[in-house]
Amino acid sequence: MFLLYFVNFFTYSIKNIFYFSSAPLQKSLWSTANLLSSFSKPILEIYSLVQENNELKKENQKLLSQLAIFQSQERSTAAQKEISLFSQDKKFDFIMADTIGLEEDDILSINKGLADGVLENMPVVTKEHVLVGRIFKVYRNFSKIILVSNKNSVVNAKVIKEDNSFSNIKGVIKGKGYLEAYLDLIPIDSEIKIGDVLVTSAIERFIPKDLLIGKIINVQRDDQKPFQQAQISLFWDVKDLDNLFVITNYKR
Amino acid sequence: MLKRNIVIIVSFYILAILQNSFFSHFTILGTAPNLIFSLFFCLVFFSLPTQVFANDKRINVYYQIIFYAIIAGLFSDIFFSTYLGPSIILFTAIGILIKKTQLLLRVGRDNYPFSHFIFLFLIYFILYQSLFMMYICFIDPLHIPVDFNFKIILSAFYSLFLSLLGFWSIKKYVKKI
Repeated sequence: MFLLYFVNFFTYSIKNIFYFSSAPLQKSLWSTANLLSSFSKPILEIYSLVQENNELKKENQKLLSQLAIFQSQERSTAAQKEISLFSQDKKFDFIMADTIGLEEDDILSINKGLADGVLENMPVVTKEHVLVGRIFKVYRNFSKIILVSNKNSVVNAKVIKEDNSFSNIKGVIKGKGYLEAYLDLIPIDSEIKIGDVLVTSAIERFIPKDLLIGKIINVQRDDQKPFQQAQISLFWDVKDLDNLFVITNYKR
Repeated sequence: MLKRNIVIIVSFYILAILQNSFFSHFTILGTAPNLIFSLFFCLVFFSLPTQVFANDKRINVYYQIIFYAIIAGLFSDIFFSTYLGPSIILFTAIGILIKKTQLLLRVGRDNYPFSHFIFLFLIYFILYQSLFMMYICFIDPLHIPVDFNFKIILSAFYSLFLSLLGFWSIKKYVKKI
């Protein structure tokens, strides 16, 4: 027991050494597995369909991202336009990081740490502006990201209607674990539908607004409860999270 | 003996990395196999009650289990926990329980029957995962809520499937550890 207490004084250094020394191997294993998993997909599905689907997904995400911008612009004054997602792109500084591992509890490891300027609570996005999570533990040469799907993750979100009509519906996205999440705390009188898109809300302290999160795939409504819930499909797949971007200068 | 221990340490290290990076792409409904537990279980299951080495040095199986638990627990904690130690304690307790149960169940000439392997693996995998989840919920700074669902069983079967490769290779090529 005493030995364990003693060892834990050096946890930070021990973990950093192990991650730093095994990062190249982990990165190559991650890429190999990514390649192999994409090869194995045709066994279950027709290859062309998978490719087409992936392209459509990316295109859809870009369109949704643009939609989020347009909706934001529509609602805003000229001054507010300056802080739309498109301009955020130019305003924010990013650090590109490679994913090196995934833990059981929906925690992702990346190969950038304190030495590269990564700090706790910085938001992490994909290149399509999809929110992946935020940094929760930083070591010298690597960091851990708490994914949106982690059971401890709670992100304020707003609903963008599928038909682009204005909506002021807000809720929270809670992680379910096993790379899944759900939408909660939507007032019972708010109308949400399958296909509605969820983006980050402006009330988040560490996360910029209008970042894409996911899409509603099933609404669970019980008139006896004050709030309704919805199952959501996140816009990222852990297998595609090879490169991530840490936003380093977002502050409210 | 030293060579054997180095092989065991390297094997746990490689499996920890594989589990953390490679098998993240081959999840079933979000569950990945626990390769560290699989190797640990195989080593404990096939350990003789008293290990005799080349220089006639004899080591009791429980000392061996503690050694396996320290290595398995250390790599498990480096990659999957905030602190170093909880997995070492859990693996030690589970390892001793596995061996005690295995010795209690032992009948006939075959000390390592397939049915015992499957039965003990599933029981102790679920016990280990449940205890680890409770540690993460109540002690670890992450405080991830405990959620017992069918995915623990799915993960147990996924890990069992991979550990069966270990079972057959040890039975065929190593016979006793």
